[in-house]
Amino acid sequence: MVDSRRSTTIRERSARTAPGPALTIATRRRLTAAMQIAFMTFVAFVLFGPVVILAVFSFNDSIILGFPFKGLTVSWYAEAWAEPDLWSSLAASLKVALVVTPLCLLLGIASAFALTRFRFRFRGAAGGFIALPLIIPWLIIGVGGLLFFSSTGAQLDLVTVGIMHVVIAFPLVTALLSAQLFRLDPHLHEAALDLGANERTTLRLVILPLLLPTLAASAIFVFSWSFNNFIVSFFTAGFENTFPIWVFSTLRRARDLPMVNAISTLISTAQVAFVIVAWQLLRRAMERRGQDIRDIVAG
Amino acid sequence: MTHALELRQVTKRFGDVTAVDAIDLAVPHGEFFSLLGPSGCGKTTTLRMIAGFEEPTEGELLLAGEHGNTIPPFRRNTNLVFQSYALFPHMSVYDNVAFGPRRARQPREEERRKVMSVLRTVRMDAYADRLPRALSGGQRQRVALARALVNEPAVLLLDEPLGALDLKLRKEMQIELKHIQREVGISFVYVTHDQEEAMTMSDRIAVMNEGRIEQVGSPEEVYHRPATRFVAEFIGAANLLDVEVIDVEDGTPIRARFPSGLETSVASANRSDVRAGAPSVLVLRPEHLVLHPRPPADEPAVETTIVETIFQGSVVRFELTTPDGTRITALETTRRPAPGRPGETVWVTWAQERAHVVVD
Repeated sequence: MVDSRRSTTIRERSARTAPGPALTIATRRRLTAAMQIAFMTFVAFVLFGPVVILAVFSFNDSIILGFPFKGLTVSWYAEAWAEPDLWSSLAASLKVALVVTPLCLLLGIASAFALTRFRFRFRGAAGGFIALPLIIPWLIIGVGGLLFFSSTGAQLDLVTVGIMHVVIAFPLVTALLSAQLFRLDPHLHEAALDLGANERTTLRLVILPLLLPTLAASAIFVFSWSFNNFIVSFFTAGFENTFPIWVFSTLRRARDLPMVNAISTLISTAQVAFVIVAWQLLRRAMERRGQDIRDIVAG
Repeated sequence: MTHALELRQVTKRFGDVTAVDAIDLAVPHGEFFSLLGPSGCGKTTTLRMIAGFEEPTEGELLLAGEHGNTIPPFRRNTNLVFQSYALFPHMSVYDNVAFGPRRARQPREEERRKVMSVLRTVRMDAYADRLPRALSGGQRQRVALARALVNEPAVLLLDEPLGALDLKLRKEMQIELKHIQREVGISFVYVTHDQEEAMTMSDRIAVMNEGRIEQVGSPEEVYHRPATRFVAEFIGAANLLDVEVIDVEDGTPIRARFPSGLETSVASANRSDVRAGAPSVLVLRPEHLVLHPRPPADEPAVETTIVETIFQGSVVRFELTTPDGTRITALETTRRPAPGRPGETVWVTWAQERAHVVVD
């Protein structure tokens, strides 16, 4: 009884999976491809749809985000251009990101080397501790930063924002670099020593060049994290405005919405363009050196 | 005359584990010397101490006659060929090989001349501009060798450099390595677990086991006159028969007795540690055994039963067993009629000058 039931299920299952005469392998492959395209389209729509809609409405001659389209205009862009607070907030964000990025690279290199190359007590604990900011919600980190700075009586300004950005971004560098260092053949280091290079020369000629692509990718990530961060900056900026904070405060006045749309479209486009160009440059540099760019992220 | 390399009572401990246990070694200039042993025997640790990546816990390491225990690897006149080759992936073949000369701050022309000359030696001069990833395993191997050789070290260290190559390529490279070593005249210290590889290339072999050196000698010595049971078993195929030494006297052959009561003379032994009454092992190589269909009248013979005969082209392998269950392997050149078939009884004799006894 049991046996016959089992054999039925097996037959049913094989009937479902077995290719019928009509469904050739080529057709099935084409079907799979079609489904993949449909899925990717859906994902792209969910991810980028809202951004595209904002971009479209930044050219609409109305303060209401809604169809029908009233008329084509670039006046929102002109208005944004004339906004002095925008420029100062952009400058503030750039300044912070440009200081935070090299600091994060330094801390990231140091911590990644410590975690992968040396054995010491509490090494695992240290690794976990460094990784914490990647897991704790930024809202909590932001509030925590605010409490910390106010309890120490520190003046809230771009310096405190910068400190907090370092806290949240350098663990990312540690993670990316550790993965790369871990995959690096330890004998490369020994080979350089064996051939007469001291530790410093080995670092300069062998280790750092092999880490360079990862460092570049890390720099791109850290820069955009810092530049785009809102929550942590919001709590620790005091009376200073970074660009995301300016966007948030300006959005509270409904009539300025299209102007924010316009400037956001510009900034997003600039950032995407920057990342694409940087990625291409990096890929070409790596190909010249015989490496594959997928190595950076496939750690 | 000083040796290129000398180890005196060198010991290396990692925590409670003794990886290398008070070994003595001396490698003269221009010798192809192999450290042979199973994995975990301490051969790689020994090599890493010579290269400077590990510091001996005890004992003294002499490089060209000078104390070298604590000299950092980048100041040693030794170079190491890694098993993984460890070629710098971001540098061309030329830049990889030029890495050493550039650290020594040699003039550009001198560097170029040396690099191209060593690349010619390993037949890789046509690939100078290639990146390592565009090379095959064998080619990478040659570049790794060139990168070490170009520095003209007093001792070249090789850590199982052929381990990653397929069998055919490995055989070719063995011969080539030997040629290159003769050509450059540098001492090679070659670590391997492959006894055939060590036999093919070495002037002398140190057989290591559990952190100790069991025997140092030429390939012929370790093969024909193994010092211990371990060496006899590790080098080539050997039949090991339990015997009791009954008479050791200078000038006459050693007398030994099988458990069956059969007595025989043994020409060869490491005399110093063979004593009368000591449980010992008679070492007989399969190719030195002779099979007789009837018991020979004039020499001691061991009675055996044929378990299996295996035709191997130029030789036939006989798997035999004695009445007390000891397995014996014999190799005979193919002849007719065959001395026997499976299940039949044959008598085994051997040339007495080939018999060798070691203390168990």
